[in-house]
Amino acid sequence: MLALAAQLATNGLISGSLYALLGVSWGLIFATTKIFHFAHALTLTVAVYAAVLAVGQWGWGLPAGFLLAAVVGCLFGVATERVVYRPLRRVNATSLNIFLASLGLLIAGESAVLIVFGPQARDLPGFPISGIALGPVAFTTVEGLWLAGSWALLLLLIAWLWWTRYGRAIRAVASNRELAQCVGIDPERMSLLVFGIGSALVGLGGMLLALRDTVSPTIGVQPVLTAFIAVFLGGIGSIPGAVLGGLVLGLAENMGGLLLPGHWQGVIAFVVLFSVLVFRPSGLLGVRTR
Amino acid sequence: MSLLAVEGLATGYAKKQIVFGVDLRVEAGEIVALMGHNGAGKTTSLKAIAGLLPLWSGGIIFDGEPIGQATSAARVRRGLSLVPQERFVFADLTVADNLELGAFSVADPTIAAAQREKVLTLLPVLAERRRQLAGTLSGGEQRMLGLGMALMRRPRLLLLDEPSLGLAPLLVERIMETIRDIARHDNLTVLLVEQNVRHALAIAQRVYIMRTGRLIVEETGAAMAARGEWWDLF
Repeated sequence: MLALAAQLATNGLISGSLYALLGVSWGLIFATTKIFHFAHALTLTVAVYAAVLAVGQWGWGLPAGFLLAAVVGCLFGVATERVVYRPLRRVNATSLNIFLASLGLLIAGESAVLIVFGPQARDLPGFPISGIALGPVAFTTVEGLWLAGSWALLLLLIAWLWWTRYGRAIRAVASNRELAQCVGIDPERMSLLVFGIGSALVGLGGMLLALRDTVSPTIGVQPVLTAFIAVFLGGIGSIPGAVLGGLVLGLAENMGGLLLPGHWQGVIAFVVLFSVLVFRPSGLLGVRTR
Repeated sequence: MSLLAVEGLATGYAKKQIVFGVDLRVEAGEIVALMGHNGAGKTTSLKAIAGLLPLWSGGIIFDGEPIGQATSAARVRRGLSLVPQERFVFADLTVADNLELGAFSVADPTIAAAQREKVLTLLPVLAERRRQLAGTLSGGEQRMLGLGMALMRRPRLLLLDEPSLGLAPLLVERIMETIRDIARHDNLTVLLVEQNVRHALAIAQRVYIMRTGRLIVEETGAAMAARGEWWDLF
């Protein structure tokens, strides 16, 4: 029983770390721009497809594939902000309309990927998968990379947000957009910046997923839904909250395996989210709204 | 030449016009008060001058240059700084972060550091609270921080929107004295929105009064103070 709990906790920590990365990639954009960027899922798909093409067909190395996913994700996110969201803001579109545009972009984009690349599942080859045993717990090399890669990116991002001029400016826009303007920050530029960074991160997160799972045009939806839950669980507007939300979600899903069969994970995620929304509506580390 | 000259300023929110052709000027070194009832358009005028709201018509000249179409960030870089009426600190950031952000438009870190020393000497309470989140400060301390943040970027014209709002009378006097001292020592020009006539007249050399989006009175502070009854003006 104890060994099982240790194994489940390890699994929870592994998937929780990736959830945290995905949550932060979306939460950074949402906190700064207040755009409910559903098409984040499309960014993930596009970035991973670019890398799968480069690695699987053009024979690029896997590290180059990761780099390409980050670059393609970044460019795609920035383009979405410039071409879709900014014109909508200019005509004072409501947040509901912006959300609908985002949803529409996701559906159209996935269809386009389906038309161009077909429905068949693809693989991201080239990663040496083997098992690692550490005392009572075991995981694969892919899972080890999830853990190490997610935390490396999370810590880098948090250090940047807390200790650099532009990182601080982004937190300022997230905290109080009008005051940020008063001190001379251009919120439009910061929007581009968070779309670039968040989208590069979701591209990298997608690559970590693609090392284990097969790649299809809808690969982005499930992880980005998980990211929403992590953000709302941890508290909207809080980057450390999104990290905590991801970890709690991963642990709850997996530790639930002590009581329930594994395929109940999705239900557990919802129950955890629902309880937080009822008992702590602003999330675990949420910024109280005034 | 006036430091700030506003001509025929008209603006509003979305489709609702609030300000209908305001002309005002502020000379270098002056403290000028803009007064009037709630909803007269004082805050809206300040926001338009700072670039937070677009001009519908009219023009704004700052230090001889037209800035009516410039972004708010560009106006801040030229030395025009607004301290808003509400939410004038980043509540979930530390006092130290707030001060750094106050100097965001200052590209040279040595200038920013020197300015930080100056602001912390002037407002020592901020030094004691550096690591605290700004939202946990008292109302008076938050006002001081809001003022300190604006001073971090060495503005030439400070636009202050009701710095006395929500403060106890004793604190209001301290804030007003601080504003006057800063203006005197740093040759800072101030355009102040104020509802409280007595507080405004205590420091302002000149006064404008607004009603329903228009200016109705311009007078020197001394002439205003000499009037017995102010209320018929509002």
